[in-house]
Amino acid sequence: MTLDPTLDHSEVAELLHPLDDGLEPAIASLRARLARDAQLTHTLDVAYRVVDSPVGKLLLAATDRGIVRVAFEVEDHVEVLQALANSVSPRILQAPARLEDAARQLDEYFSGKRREFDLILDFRLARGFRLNVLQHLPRIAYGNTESYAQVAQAAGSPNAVRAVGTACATNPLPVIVPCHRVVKSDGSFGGYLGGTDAKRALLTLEAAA
Amino acid sequence: MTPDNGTIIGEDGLARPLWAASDPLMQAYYDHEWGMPVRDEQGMYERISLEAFQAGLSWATILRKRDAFRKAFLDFHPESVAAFTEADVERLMLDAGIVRNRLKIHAAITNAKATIALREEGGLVDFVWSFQPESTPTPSTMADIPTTSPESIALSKALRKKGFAFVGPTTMYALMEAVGIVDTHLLDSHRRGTSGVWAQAGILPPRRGRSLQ
Repeated sequence: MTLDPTLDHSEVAELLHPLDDGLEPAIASLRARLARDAQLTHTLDVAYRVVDSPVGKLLLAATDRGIVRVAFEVEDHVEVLQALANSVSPRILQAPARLEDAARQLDEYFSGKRREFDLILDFRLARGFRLNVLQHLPRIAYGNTESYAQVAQAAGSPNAVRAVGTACATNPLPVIVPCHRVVKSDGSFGGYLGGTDAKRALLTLEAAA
Repeated sequence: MTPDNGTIIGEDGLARPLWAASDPLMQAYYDHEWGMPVRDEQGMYERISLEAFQAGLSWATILRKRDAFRKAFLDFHPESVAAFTEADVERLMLDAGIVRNRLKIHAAITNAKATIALREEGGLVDFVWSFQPESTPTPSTMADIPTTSPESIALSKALRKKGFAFVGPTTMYALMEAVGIVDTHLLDSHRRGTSGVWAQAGILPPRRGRSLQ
């Protein structure tokens, strides 16, 4: 076949476009095979996927020990993956199947149908006092809130109220580990790593359900 | 010249707290080290050890002896110090280059062992940094700078629970200042904010986002 030399750029693009179309499923299936093979040969340490939510795109990442990271868009997903590569393992792959369960539970949560997450979590990114704080947070029931001071007390250091703020601000598993349920003593929202609007949205969702 | 915020203006025209203006060694320490983030285990263990040796003495004394300390404690390599025996303690008690206090020397050895044990829970560095408050003081005068904080009290208790010695709340506040966990430079100091840990207003800097694809 020879190309008509008089074709202009848009016509060439039009000719090539169907090729692109056909490729997408092929790329998706290649990706899936890569992820499956990597897992089978133990060359995949961190699996991730991105899901849509009412509070923006969420990056989910899991190790063989459980969900290790949930990240808001404002945290910068590219940087979050880079940080995971540095701190956990550089063997990271987009592997949506590994996070199917988490994605489904988040979906149910955001549609008001789920009040508790039933997922295995990997807390390796939190240490010391921050870990104490994170381990307490799931005990704050859906639709309820606690003050930073109450959480400080529950985490074993009643006065370290401002360190509770940092622990929440660096929560590696937001939404699933409900740091959004920690608010200021005066009832105002306080800060949130996903932005105050996201915190308001989550608390409103829980109050309505 | 002495401004009324408690600082001293040096010959180079820069204001420093009284403690950092006393001699060139202290001035260099203030200008280049104090408050800069320490995020490696050996560095953190060295700071905890030196702060412990300081208790009751001036920091200038410790700083002048720092090279001798590093030599005596094998660069504060935790494994090496953890292996010290009573014979090593006796040897160190004869070393005029360091602070010869048996309790403090024992504390350095105890803390080396505790540092190694803490690795199972993610390590000393993350442990200490986990007590970082979400905001740092914004002092205008030296009198505004605290000497302890709820977080330093909590850190002190938590480290004691992990087997560390000579880690009182005031010593731990000094540690938090020294390793950058809080920034207590006066607002108009040339060193204010140089650690990069805090935004101008004394709060953790905001993050900006990018998503994939």
